[in-house]
Amino acid sequence: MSRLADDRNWFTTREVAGLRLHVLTTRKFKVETARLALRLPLRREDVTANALVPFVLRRGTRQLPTLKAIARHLEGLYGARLGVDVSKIGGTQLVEIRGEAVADAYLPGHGPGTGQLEALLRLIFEVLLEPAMADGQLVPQYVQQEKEILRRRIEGVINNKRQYALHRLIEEMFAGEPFALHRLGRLEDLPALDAAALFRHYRERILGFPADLLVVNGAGADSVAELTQRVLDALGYRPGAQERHEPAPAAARDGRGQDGTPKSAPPRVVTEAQDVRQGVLALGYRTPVRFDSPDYPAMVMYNGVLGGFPHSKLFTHVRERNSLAYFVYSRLESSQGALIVSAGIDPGLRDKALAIIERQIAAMRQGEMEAGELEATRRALIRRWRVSEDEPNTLIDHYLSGLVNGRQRPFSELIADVRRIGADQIVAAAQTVTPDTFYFLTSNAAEARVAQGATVRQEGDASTL
Amino acid sequence: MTVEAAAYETRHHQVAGDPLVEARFASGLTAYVAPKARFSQKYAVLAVHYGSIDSRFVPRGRGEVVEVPAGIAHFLEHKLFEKQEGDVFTRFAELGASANAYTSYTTTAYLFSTVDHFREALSVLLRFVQEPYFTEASVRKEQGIIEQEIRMYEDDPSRCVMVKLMQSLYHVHPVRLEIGGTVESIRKIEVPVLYLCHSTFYHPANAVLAVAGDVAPDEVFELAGEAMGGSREDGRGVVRLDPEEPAGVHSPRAQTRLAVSRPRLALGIKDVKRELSGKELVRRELAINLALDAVLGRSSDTFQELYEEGLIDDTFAARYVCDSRFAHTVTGGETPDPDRLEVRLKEALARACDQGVDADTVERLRRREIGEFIASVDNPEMIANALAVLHFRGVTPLDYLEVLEELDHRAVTEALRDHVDPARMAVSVVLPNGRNGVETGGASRGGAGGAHWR
Repeated sequence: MSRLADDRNWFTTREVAGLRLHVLTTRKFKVETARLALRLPLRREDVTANALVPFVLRRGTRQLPTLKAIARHLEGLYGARLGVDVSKIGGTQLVEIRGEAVADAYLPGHGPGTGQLEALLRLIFEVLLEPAMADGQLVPQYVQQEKEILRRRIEGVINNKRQYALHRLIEEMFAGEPFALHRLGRLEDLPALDAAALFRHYRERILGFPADLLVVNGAGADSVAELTQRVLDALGYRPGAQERHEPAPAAARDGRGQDGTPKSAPPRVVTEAQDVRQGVLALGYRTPVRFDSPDYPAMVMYNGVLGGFPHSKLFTHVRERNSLAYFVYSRLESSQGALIVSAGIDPGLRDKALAIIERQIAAMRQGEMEAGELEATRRALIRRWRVSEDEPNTLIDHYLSGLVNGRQRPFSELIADVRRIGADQIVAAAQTVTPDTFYFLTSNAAEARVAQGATVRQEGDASTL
Repeated sequence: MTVEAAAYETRHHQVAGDPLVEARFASGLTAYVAPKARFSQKYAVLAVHYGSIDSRFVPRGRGEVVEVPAGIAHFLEHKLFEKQEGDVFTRFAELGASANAYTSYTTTAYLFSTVDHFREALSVLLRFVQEPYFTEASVRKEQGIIEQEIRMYEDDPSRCVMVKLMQSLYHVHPVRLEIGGTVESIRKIEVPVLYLCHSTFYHPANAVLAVAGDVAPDEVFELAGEAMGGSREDGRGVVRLDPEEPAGVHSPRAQTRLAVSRPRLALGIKDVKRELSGKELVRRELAINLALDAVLGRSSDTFQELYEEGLIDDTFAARYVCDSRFAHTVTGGETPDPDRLEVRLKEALARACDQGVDADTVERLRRREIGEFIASVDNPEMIANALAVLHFRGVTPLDYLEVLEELDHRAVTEALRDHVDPARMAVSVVLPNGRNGVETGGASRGGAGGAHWR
């Protein structure tokens, strides 16, 4: 009997000192994982400050005032890890402080106890609640340095061409909506973010929001709750007035695909040229099926058959049969109702690759699927989800995604769902997919050859390679 | 292929509280199983001691030396998935298994991850790697795919800076060539030379199987015995010929322009060839890496200073990479000022050689290593891949713990002094081409070097 059918392999939630504590108890791992997550509304006026704060916070705490002091402390805790992250899911920007430490029981000469987890939780909360300060505000030097690094990170989005193409597609496809914002924010906001402004933002916006603490370990929810309470008491933490944030549903579209009827309007095409050796396609499609829709499992099957795996249609046709690409895939942006297809190709063969991709999308719509493709996809999805249960950080990511999307879909439930999905439901999902925006990153040399009528956003000279 | 099931000898170990079972077969094959109760994933890797640097060798059963085109080990890895009856991927997909492969300087590895049908998937893995099937048409088809893989890496600044660094450090050693070869070199690959490389290197004695997950060791060994265990003509001692590599660097400096927003620096220190293996190799690797952590790691004074001056960020790293046939340190990352960072790194290394590494620092770093070792056991893929790669060095993960116990600050300092030599340093710099972005800024993560994936 599959262990997977056991729903105890999931998080339980309770409130501790105004925090929502989510604990998954399992004896599977030697490492204890904890994550503090703040779910903030993704909006233009906050996005950059939200992204900057965690990097300033991790520079030092009252007790460990420098990066070096924190690093040495972590080494002393047998290589425990601490990191911060900024991401976005739909209309939510997530600011996280992440930690991992080997459980006491596995350390040389230790018995079971709570030493490592307590130290880890203490550090995570110190980073959030007791940052290093100077003259009653965040250390100006840290703010200045992290602003500069954030500026480079934002400018550096261009360095990874695959990621850059996806970012540019989303920017164009969701223009005017929060989702178009980059998770790291906007360059133009940086100059105004001095130490005083950032401290205000930290106190009013970051600390004002309710936080979720997620823990995966073997100690049990009661014991983690006690420990959390103890750590917060020791830090003198008092929950403040908290604003509940429910992210607004994504804005209604201008008719493109929102009613589920395929539209015949051609997609908007955006082309950009750089000095690159490889072109990148990033094609955006819309669907009304989202993470919380009843049809979501069918859409996941659709995406799997189309381009989620090496046995999928896109890989088979674009790569294996036509040698056009090394990477080609599709993925769902399910909080937004979007499907994205991407491939790295010879810029001169763009039209050929695009025609093959569109042919596969059309094939799905017409129900051209073999039983083998369906079964392979079903098995691959089940494998992926079950393997995810072996990875604490993937479990936490998936649970957080459920929190943001307003509906939990435990892996066990998803597995049961896709076992039931038949070809008809996948074809129905396929019918909802309509092209919206196509983005091409191409080489300067190839730019001379692109089709007329494209919206060309050319940067730099049209020189040859 | 029919080989009678051969008896095997097993040895039992404990790694961070978990069992590890090792089996040796008459064919020369070694297999490891790291049982992981409670885990859903079952992961297997079949690795061959054959990588991109094996470009000059004496084919088995022949006398003369051959030299093959750059990138052929990786090309062969791609091509083994294709058979007369179709793509092996399809077979894995039918079983619900996810297959992949990668090629590094020294190793070609074939792997799968599954939760169900483990037995069937393992049989597929053990057999397909041993059964070459190459045609002119399929070789031509693969050239298009691999060309796009090479192009993709050519646009990747972290990759680009490493390739140029290797070309600066080494005069003739094949480690200076990209693992995947070049668009030109892979066009020279033809069917007969693929068969030649396969028959030379893909022998059980030159391979290792490593499995991690909720599986029974005996079941794995039984299958491995049926597929690869029976005695074969002797495959030990493949003759690999490295050219005579001078001790000094080929050129002290390389510079490339790419469509990036910010410069990236890699400073390399070449080691002289020592032909170390087993625990001696592990000792040198651990000692130099502990020294680099002490001098340039996140808890070092130098990291703190360079970070505060804005010369480095989270992309910065320092790592000694070694094999019995080559070894070097690579350090660097994105930086607004590669020249100044180069000077500062060289100063820090020189100062550390002067002053040595202190005992407290080594003790703290040792604790971290122990913790990271234990943490790695939570990841079946990491355990199996480590077992496979370490096997070709003649060690198991347990040797790391033993050597770690033995190392003290004197040994760490001595290794650092022995390794760091200004005459064996080179730098590689990637600069923005000035058209696609501003001159400063940027921060993409990404390790240097690494393997080529299918």
